[in-house]
Amino acid sequence: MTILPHLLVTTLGVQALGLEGKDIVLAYSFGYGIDLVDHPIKLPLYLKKNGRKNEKHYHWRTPLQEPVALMWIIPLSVYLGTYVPALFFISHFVLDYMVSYEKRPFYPFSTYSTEGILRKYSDTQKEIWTCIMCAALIAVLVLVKR
Amino acid sequence: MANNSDGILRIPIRIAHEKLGLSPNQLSTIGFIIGTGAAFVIVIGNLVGGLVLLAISQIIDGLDGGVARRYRLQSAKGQMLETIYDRLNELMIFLALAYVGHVTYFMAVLAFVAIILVTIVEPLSKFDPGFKRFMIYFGYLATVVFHVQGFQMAMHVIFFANLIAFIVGTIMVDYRLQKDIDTQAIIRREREITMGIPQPPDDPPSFLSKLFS
Repeated sequence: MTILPHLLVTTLGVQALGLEGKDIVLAYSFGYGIDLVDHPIKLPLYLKKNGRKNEKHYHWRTPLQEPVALMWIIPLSVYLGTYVPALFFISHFVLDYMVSYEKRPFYPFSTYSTEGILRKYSDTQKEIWTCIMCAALIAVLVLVKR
Repeated sequence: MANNSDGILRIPIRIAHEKLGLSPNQLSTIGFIIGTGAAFVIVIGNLVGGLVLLAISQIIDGLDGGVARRYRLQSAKGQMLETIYDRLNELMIFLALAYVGHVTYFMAVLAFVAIILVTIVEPLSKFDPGFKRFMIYFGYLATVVFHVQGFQMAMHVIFFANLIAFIVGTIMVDYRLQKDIDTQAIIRREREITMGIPQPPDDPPSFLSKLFS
């Protein structure tokens, strides 16, 4: 998904769980920030193939934001003594798996690829509904906490 | 392909194989047995003795690969055996250090898990920074010279170095795959253009490409 749903879901999670201090940093890093690290990696390949032209469904993703990354994120969570990285990373890839571009969840250990879940609904619809629901829930949480 | 250590260990490699008639797998087994002894010696309280044995087992570990390469005795089975022996040795040494209180069991297990991750991806990525048993000596050095918990620090380094190596390894493999896919697509597109086959229309510009154009 695009920036906004990831940000909203992460914010919702932070609010709902009442996270504080370093947990907030970890939540935004693994719920959203992982995108910022991931996409530039394949930029040289994209530019070589397409120049400045847009290729809508280019495979930007690396194993950094696929479920296979749980293999390192879970030990890291154990090391840090917090469930936050694993939980927010799961929220990140669940959102991504709602959008219909190609994903290789277990690469490099399996070449299995999928276009994710809820494919009968349009990506735009899913993004809009995710944003509306998250924004509404964040508003409710903020009001309740007051 | 010859390794740097093969040159240094040239003479012992020849002695081990030509004079003593040892095969790479036999050398791996001897190295493993000495490594196990190292863990045992650490457990009974002789840290320095254990580290000396560990160093001997690592030298023999270098010999088995050297013999295999020099005498063309490499095999998938031998490679696997060496990997299993190495991992078991690391586990035993880490647990021995935890048993005598130089490291916590928590860090010993986490460091080992990180090593296992690199072991899983290394055959695909061909990338292994080698931060394993070798770090133990730095741990000892830090303990003696700086009077800090050097072994515990070594475990942290082993954990992070291997975790990062795993991440980098998976990205490297994926990058290579994407490069192949893209190269094939470019070749196909150029061939089609040469043959006069009409190309599908470009996707409309994205928000970002509009922003930067």
